[in-house]
Amino acid sequence: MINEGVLNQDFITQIVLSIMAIALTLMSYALARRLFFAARQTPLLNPLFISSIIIGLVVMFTDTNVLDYRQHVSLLELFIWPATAALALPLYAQVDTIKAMGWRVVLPILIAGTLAPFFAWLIVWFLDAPLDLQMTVLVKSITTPLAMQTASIIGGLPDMAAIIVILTGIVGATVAPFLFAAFNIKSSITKGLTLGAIAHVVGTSSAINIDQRCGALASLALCLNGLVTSICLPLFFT
Amino acid sequence: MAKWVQTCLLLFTKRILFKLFNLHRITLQSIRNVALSLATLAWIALLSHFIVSYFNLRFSAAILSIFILFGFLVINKGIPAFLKPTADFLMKHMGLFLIPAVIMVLAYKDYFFAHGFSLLLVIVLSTFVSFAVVLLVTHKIVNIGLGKDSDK
Repeated sequence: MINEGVLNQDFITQIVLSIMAIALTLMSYALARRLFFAARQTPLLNPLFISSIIIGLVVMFTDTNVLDYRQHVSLLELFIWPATAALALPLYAQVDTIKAMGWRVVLPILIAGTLAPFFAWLIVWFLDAPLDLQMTVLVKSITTPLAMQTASIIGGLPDMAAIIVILTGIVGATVAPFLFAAFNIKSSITKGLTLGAIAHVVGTSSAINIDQRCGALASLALCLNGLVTSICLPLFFT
Repeated sequence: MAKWVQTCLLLFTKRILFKLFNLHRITLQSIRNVALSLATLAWIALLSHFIVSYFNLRFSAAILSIFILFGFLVINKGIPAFLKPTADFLMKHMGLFLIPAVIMVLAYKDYFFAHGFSLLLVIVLSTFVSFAVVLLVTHKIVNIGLGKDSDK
């Protein structure tokens, strides 16, 4: 009876902590989004970046274990799967544009899929980083689940791969508006392809906020780059 | 905690979330559509996970789920009306679902400190350079045969 009581109390505590962690995450994200739009969508105030900083600070100051926090918000994290599946919608909506563009959309994605891992690997190789890190950075521009899977196959670190991938996405989505303005890029097709191929899901999320065509092309780039990289890397490195 | 404090806190949180996420437009019909579309998307995600694990594929279940839904849309010859609002919402707020993964940086802070410079260059410099190069190359390729039309 006593054990059952303790168990129930522990269970209730866990539920309360989960609700609090999810509420904190939602509030931080909502606040970061408000801030982002209030500052006229300044790229440096990327909502994912700002909300992560807010939560990171709360986690650090309350001396909460990061793994505990992640466990408490695991319900929220599950939504990434239906959200990723939903990327098929903009892809379908713009299928005629993609058909009309043909090789002109495929070639940039293949180039991005080759250049992004090459530049990353060149840096860590030049700095004589350990081999596992060299293998991990090769997957930096593909979507998280795929990157973790591919990293483990080629001898990289799956958890680190996930972090590097997300941070790459944040940097990509943050620098994108500056580079679009610097090179005077107005084409949704160009913006979408580059965002999806370099900044994967985070970039695609930003692309969807630009316009539907941009989102569709980013979604295509995300899929194709992910497919090609995850198929090719194990062939070369295993 | 006094009951009235809890009630006030709950109402305050609800008010903020409703205002920030525009949840005030919710109707019974929209709740049904949200449930139905979430179930559809979750079912597709689960199906893709099952296929990948059952056939032991070296392939991401996430990518497969995009192709499965795309296949359904092709067969259906259109996007079902109930699916679009929820899918748009999920895609628009995809960053929210990635926050837990970003926070994991704190769990690996020792590794980050050990290889901080390499990681900083990889994450910032190589991303910036690749983005700039790919953007310019893509701009050139997309413009072939299209001229200024591609700027629309």
